Amino acid sequence: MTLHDAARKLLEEHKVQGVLGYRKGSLPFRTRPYLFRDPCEIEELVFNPFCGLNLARYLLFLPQGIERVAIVAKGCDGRACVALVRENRLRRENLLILGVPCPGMVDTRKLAEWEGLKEHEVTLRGGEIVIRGVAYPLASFLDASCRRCRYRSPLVYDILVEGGEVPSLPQEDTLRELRSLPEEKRWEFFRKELSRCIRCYACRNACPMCYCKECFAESHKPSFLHPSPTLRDNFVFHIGRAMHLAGRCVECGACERACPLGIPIATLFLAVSDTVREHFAFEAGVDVAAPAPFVTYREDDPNAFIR
Amino acid sequence: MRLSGNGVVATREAFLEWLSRGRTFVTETVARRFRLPFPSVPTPKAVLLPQHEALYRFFWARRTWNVHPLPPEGTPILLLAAPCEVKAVTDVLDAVFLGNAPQDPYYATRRKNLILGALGCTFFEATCFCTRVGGHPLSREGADFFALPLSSGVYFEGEGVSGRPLASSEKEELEALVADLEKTAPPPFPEKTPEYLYEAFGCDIWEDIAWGCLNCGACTFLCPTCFCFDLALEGRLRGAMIRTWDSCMFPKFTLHASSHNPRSHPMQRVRQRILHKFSYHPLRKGVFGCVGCGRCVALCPVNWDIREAVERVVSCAL
Repeated sequence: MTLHDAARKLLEEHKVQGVLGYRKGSLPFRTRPYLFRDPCEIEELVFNPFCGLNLARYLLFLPQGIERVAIVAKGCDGRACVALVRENRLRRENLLILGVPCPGMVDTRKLAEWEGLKEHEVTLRGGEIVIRGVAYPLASFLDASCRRCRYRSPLVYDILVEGGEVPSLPQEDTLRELRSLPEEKRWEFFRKELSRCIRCYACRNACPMCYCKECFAESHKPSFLHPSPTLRDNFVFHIGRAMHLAGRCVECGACERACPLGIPIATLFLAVSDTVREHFAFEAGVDVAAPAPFVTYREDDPNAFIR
Repeated sequence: MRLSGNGVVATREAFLEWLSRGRTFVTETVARRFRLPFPSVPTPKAVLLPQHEALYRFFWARRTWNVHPLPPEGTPILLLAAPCEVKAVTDVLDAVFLGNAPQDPYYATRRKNLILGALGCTFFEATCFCTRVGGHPLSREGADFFALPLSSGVYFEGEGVSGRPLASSEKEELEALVADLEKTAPPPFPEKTPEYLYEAFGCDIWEDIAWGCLNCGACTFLCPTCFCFDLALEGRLRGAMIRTWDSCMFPKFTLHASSHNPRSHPMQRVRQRILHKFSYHPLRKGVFGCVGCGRCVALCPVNWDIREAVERVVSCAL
């Protein structure tokens, strides 16, 4: 079944009250989230390589009257759904995962070089992106999170839609270069990038796993950091968020795409995810039943300090 | 046509040489369109209302509070900005910080030392809508000088740069540009937009309009006219009063000491942003609180488009 047929059928048969998907935006290449409630609207549903937002973020902010919802999920949206179910934010039975294989999400900022580029001038062909008749390797247009993606199709789903060619891109270790640098150089990298942060919190608000009612960054009592974007406070915010997301980050890169200043902020979270993978053999949102590293107590824990 | 036509044409080198004489900054809009060798700022307000500013230092000593104001240094700065960004300073920020007594002394000092140049725009980007809110891509209103890149040099109106009078081919180029801009200009919002929006406060369309907005502060922080700020003390017995940007998109923006929050719901905050810019501000000050630079449209993580929102509310009120 195609995505449109599946989504339309779900609404027509009242299996769900809404379908969370993407719709064409007001600017070339941009898509925007939309909650489809009427089967007639489904023809506006799109899924293309410009759907970089993680829709699972909206699952916790649904309008009233939506009890059961379907979500158009690429691999990382699917992982976020599983992670949210695992954290008891959602009931699995109220969620219908419409899995779509993901070709990798193109970083629209990288298309800015081509002045006045129209949507029909860009096509995807296998592992290549064709812009005005010239083919370029697709990987060079993807964010780090997509170049290193392990799960392009959702692992857990109710319906997997057909079609949607998934190019077999090599899985790249995007952090290798940064890791090979000496400590001072890595510090310099983060110092330079984080000093540009204006603390608009777009990264946090686009994150499907950042759902705290009150973020530590905005807490007044106690106050952990100052609202002004000094380097010191920026570090406290981003490192604090990285710690909160350790073992919970689904590596979607929505934070980085949301950043209005183009700070490669996902680097931090991807590095933490690698650390968790290495030490705990755990990946967030992959298995609903797997014990999560920081919330699981075992009497026979190999580490003595915790027993 | 808003150009007086009595400017001169200078060479690009002469124009750049003149700009390099002082501390010159360009806005990112200008930097993106013309490769100029000057540091860039995200918006003009970053120069006039820094995101982090210590207003005074204080310490407790000899059983009393000692307070030392920290007035800004009066170093002159030249800022080259797009006409919409100039309008943001002269029409909106000046009215807010200098329009009523008491004036903001920190803003006033910085403003006095700011030389504001408008660099005319030769085309509309997909996100541009200055002509919808009373602006014009070639406006020099409020600016200390006006410049416009031509194929043969830089058209310049103002004092400081010398050049030769316009040749007839350049006059034709200017006229063609004006005609072309006129053709492609987005049409203004309806005249009574502020009144319509004011009436539409209770409309049930708002939930729908606000859906999708992440309630982050990307739009407000990068907006050239958003001026809301917060004051916070840093330190207890010794420290400083810090002024930082604040955003009506944040849940704590309106949190009262009583713990009541009049805008606790995300929809209310989105409505506030639209109504403040397109209704309350124009009803009070006579100009839109938006200059149509399109930054919020371009940089929104979810492509939430304020132009569509205003259109929808207007059509709801009609």
